[in-house]
Amino acid sequence: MRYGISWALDSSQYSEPEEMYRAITEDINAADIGALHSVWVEESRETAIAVSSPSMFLTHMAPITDNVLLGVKNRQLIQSHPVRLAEEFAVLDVFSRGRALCAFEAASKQQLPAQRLHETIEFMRAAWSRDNMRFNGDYIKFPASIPEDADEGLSTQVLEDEFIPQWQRNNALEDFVAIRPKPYQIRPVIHVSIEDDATLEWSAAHGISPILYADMATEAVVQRVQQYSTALEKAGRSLCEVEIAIERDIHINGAASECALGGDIESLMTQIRQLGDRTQMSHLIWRRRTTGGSDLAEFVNGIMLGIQA
Amino acid sequence: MASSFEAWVEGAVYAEQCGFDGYTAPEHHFEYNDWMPFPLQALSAAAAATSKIRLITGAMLCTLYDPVLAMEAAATADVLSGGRISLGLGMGYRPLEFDGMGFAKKTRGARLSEAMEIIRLGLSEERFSYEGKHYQYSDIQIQPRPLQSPVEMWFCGGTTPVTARRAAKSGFNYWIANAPYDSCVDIVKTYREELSKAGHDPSRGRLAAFRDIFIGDSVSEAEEMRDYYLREFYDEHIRAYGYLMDDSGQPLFWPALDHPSYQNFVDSLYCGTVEMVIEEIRRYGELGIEAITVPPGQMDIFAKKIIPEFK
Repeated sequence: MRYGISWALDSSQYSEPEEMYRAITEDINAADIGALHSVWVEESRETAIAVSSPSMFLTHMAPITDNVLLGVKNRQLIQSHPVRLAEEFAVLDVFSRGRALCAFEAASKQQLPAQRLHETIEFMRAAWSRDNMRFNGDYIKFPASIPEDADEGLSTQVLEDEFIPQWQRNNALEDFVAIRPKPYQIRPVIHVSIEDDATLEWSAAHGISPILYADMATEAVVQRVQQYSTALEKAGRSLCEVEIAIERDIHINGAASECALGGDIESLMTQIRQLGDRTQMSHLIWRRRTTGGSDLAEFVNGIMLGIQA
Repeated sequence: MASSFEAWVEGAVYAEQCGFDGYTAPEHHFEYNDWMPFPLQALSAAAAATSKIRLITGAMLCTLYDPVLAMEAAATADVLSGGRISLGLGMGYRPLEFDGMGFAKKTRGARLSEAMEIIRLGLSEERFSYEGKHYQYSDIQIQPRPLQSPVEMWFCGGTTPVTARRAAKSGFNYWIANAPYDSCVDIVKTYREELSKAGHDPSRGRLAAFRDIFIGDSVSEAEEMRDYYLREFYDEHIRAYGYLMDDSGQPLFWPALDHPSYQNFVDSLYCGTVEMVIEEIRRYGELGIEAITVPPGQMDIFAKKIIPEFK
């Protein structure tokens, strides 16, 4: 199992964005040195001190970290063109030499049809793995001048004549276009929140990894993951194809609650193992409410290494 | 072109060591794995590896963004860089980029002016509203706030005075594209006159220029370098995609080598010895051009022989 951290910080603790950015940066460096597997920065616009462009934040971290995976979570579609989304994660992946992770917010939380989110994920995966492509979806038309009679969904070019570089083609608009750069990883993992039933079924059928965010009660998480696993099996797919990521608040030496794990180190190891066994989770993300402090070392040395022992 | 994104960041570190004031990241799409599709993201990486050099988008194709997302990215990069971001914003010219990103090319000029106005408002006001022909926003606030106030912004122009007029009308600083000295004189004159006509103080409009410079021990050696770049780089990037325009402002695709616009571009590639280059840059300074952006190919010689003349 992999272990990561994310943050839900009280923005009133910080008077300026750079203070909060610095605090998260220091935690990321500690995670990198401390052998945690991942850090996840949430896209948010809820307060005046927020990270609205997490992939930029993590691209900033790429040259100054070595090992830790750099994950964007709660990524929203809002006005982002799918080409830009594909490019943005590819650039993060290239700058970090294959350490980018991307997890989308549920469509219902963005007041969007689930189909639009699904198309976007399909589009991004195609953009990363295929060269000259076009995409004819309900929400995505790529390129914009795609012929009306183009095949639905993704199609790729079959070259019938001699290859001519695009700059020598006398400025003809292209039916099929390659999106670049390509990511460093061969198949970057995309996670998606499975809060919405339609997305749960779709992601299982397409082998997309689920993520369950910390605001969902632990028992509901278990239930959702079990539904996902059933759908995955029904689609003829294996758990080995996907990564089940679960984010939890974890109160070290504190109380457990509906949404949080809590207790002493031994009790937390047991709770995490039990959650892992019930869900087959392969990535646990600890959502932190503070930065710095000794609890990160306790988490790594006590819990993470304890479970691995 | 850097051989990799990492090499590009190393270029930023080296430029800082050499004493350059700024380092630019351009934007293009659908071509080459090592090209930048999102210059502010690349500059965020460069920010981590440098401490004082200004980090400049040059040019960020503003017409291919939602302006609010563009300004959020700019503010984020500004915070991450400790307030070192400058925005060079251009309208783009390659038809494939507009088609691929789903934006209309024919409205690009008007959309750039509106988008720059929105970005200026959003980066300087806590909350703002905007009612334009192409963009409308009501009482919105961007997060995070940038460190700088204001964030330096430049309207990146083309090769004719048309864009200088557009920049001046809205009172934006103007970044002149590659142009020979005499053309620059005309563009600067047009820009200052249009600033006055639009009711802006002409002395407040700031000017910069892109200028490809080739330095050799002799003029012919510098010209050899230029000719190599013309063959290997500019033939593709200047002639193929409609970068150059004719007198009526229409894009030229594959102009003949003796077309006046192409010849004007070739003439804009300055070839000279160190002493001649110093003199040429001084002439630009006398025009009121405060910054010259040069390609990164000859950073060493600039650092050793040219920058010290201007510090």
